[in-house]
Amino acid sequence: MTEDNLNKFIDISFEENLLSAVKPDFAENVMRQVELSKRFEAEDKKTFRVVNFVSVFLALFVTSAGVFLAYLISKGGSESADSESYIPGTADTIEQWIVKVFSLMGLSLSENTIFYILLVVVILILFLVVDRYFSGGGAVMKNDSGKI
Amino acid sequence: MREISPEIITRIKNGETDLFREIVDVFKDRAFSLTMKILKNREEAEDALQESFLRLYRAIASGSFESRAKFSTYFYTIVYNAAVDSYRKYYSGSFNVTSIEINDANYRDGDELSKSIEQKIDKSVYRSAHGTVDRVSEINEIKKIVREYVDAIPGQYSVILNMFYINEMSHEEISTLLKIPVGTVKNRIFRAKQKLKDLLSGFYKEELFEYLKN
Repeated sequence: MTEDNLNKFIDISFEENLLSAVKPDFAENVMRQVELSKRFEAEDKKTFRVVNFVSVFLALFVTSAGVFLAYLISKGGSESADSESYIPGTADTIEQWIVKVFSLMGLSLSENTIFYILLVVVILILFLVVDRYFSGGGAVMKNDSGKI
Repeated sequence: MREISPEIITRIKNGETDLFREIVDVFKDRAFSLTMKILKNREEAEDALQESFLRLYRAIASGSFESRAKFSTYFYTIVYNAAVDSYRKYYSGSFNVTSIEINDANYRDGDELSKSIEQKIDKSVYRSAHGTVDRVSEINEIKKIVREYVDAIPGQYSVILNMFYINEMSHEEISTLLKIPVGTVKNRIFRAKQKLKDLLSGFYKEELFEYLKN
């Protein structure tokens, strides 16, 4: 037996003895998991689209409401004398309501302070919405491919 | 090694999930051999492999695989990482298949291979093998020695041997995946082969030739 044949013998020995076999139903199990994964992925995409739509709608609503409220408060004080105007009247009501809420908590706040607080709250809500759904924080679309 | 054609990948990505079965059938046993060498437990090794196939499917379906040049290397990287992740999960310890822990001041490269074999292999077999009378018995003894030897090889060697012989990865691919020098990969394969040659040195070369013919 030559050295080449001995090396061939060693190589064949390793090839034969290192190979193990999975259970007979392994491939079926994997395919079942793949089908499930495919279905979940489709559902995730659908969920993501709905959540995306709702969050955009909410963000727009909160922004509009905040801007409108801020506008009412800023205008309310200066034009409160104009009894013909519908907006200042509403502004006064809202402002009084907010002042009452704060006074119940033992706080006395001016119009400007309320305006700035509302602005901060609106920005905070917008930031949270954007961070949650548009910067990869959303669990529904997390990438799950292999680490390389 | 059979490579998977780009056309199959594209068709799977486009929704023909059934074609993924072809990939599973081609790679399942070879990849399982690798996860078994790392985890040394059938259930855990199959779970890790199943997770690997799922990761592969998601990579294909999401399109992140397309840029990869060689399918098998990409897949075995997923398999290796999944097995290492499982090892950490099940044994809650750091997994190190590449480096060898040395506590002995007189350590010489390759000692851990001899030590492991001496502890686990049935030495009485290869010591007395030469004394057996018929050729069939001797060939069976050779098979037994080889099998015991392969089972006893420590992980630092067996994972590399598996990648080389079963997964048909090149020295360079193994080196890149395990993050060790190419020289170390070559050295470990050489030492593992050399040790088996030493173990079989007591047999007549004719018996080994018979084994090869069978």
